[in-house]
Amino acid sequence: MIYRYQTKLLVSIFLASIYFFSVNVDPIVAETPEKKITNGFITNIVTNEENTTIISVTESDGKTSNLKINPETNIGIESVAGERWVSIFSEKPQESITRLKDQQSRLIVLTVVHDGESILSISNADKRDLELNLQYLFIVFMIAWIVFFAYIFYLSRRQNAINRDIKLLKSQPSYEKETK
Amino acid sequence: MNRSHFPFLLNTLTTISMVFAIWMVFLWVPTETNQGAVQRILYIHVPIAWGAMVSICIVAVASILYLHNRSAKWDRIAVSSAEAGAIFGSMMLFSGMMWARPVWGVFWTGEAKLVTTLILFLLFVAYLMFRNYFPEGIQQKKIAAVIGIIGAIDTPVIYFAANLWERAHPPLVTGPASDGDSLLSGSIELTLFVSAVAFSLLLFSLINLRYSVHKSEDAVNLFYRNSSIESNTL
Repeated sequence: MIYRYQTKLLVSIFLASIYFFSVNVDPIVAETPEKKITNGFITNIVTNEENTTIISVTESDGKTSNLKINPETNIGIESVAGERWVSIFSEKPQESITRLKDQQSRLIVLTVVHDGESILSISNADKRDLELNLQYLFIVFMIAWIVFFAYIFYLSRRQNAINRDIKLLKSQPSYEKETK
Repeated sequence: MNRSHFPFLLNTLTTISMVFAIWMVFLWVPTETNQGAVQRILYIHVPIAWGAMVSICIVAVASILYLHNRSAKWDRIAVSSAEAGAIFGSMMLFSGMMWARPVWGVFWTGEAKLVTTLILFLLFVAYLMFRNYFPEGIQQKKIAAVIGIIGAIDTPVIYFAANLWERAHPPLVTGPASDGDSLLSGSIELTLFVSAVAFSLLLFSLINLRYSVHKSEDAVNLFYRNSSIESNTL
């Protein structure tokens, strides 16, 4: 009996699990105690007497975080012409500050990965916004499963059609003659 | 194990592993910090690409065996694998393009890895078109087998393309052909492995399902052919 309903049973289990997992997706699991993500624009850049550069990042809700740039901070930002510039702060500190000031003047939203005090990396948000990219993830999984199920459905229909043919043949007297 | 239990066992294993893989992809593995959520496409793109390459290898091996002993079984396996390969190939291209758009800024670049992958997909399409439009018979099966064997030459080219011609596509970071140890973190590598197992089982389930349909159709067609020969001779 179970074999008769196996395909329906397995497909139901599979679809139920996709539904269950998709409603439980947490899009900010990237955050860990060591790595926090802040999306916002730069409101201030200062270099103090100890030669430490501190950036103020303001988020859309008005919350401002003052974060320190380390020599190891990775920077990946785009110029006004769309050209991407990638560097480590210690390699080109002056140019890094100039380019970050350019981002500040243009109110560009940046994604800052930090540990609450120091910045690990800073880059243009359009490449790193988790929620922005979710649509691509959704489209890929949705289309892939539609295609796989459509193919399984097509094969099942062909199998059913052939089963009907076999049933019909078996009921004909010529079939008995052929198989004897 | 009874042979009639094999499809049920295979389908059940596929469902369980796929449910487990989806749980790992969406709930267990952390989001990669550089690419964000879009990196999760990797867990479907890489196993599907692997499945497409396995398919063309199955087509080639089955074709060689068909040319060797002319058994209809090997021809059916080759056709079934080519059909599943075409599905996997199209999904491989689609998922790759959907990943490339937010990460590279474009859907497609003309680099070697992408072009050879497109060639693989077109080979599957050419194989299936030939099977459908060329008159049925031994000649059709023999030429299709040769197309399948030639198509498999593309597989190692695709596999090593990103390492041979380094451009935008990431090089091999895990697996036997990667340089040194795997560069993936433990959780990402484990999720990728589970997903690869799940999609490999899905591939074998699809091939098995297509094979059984093909076998039934062949049996019915043979019966009709024999009946018509008999009625013509009477």
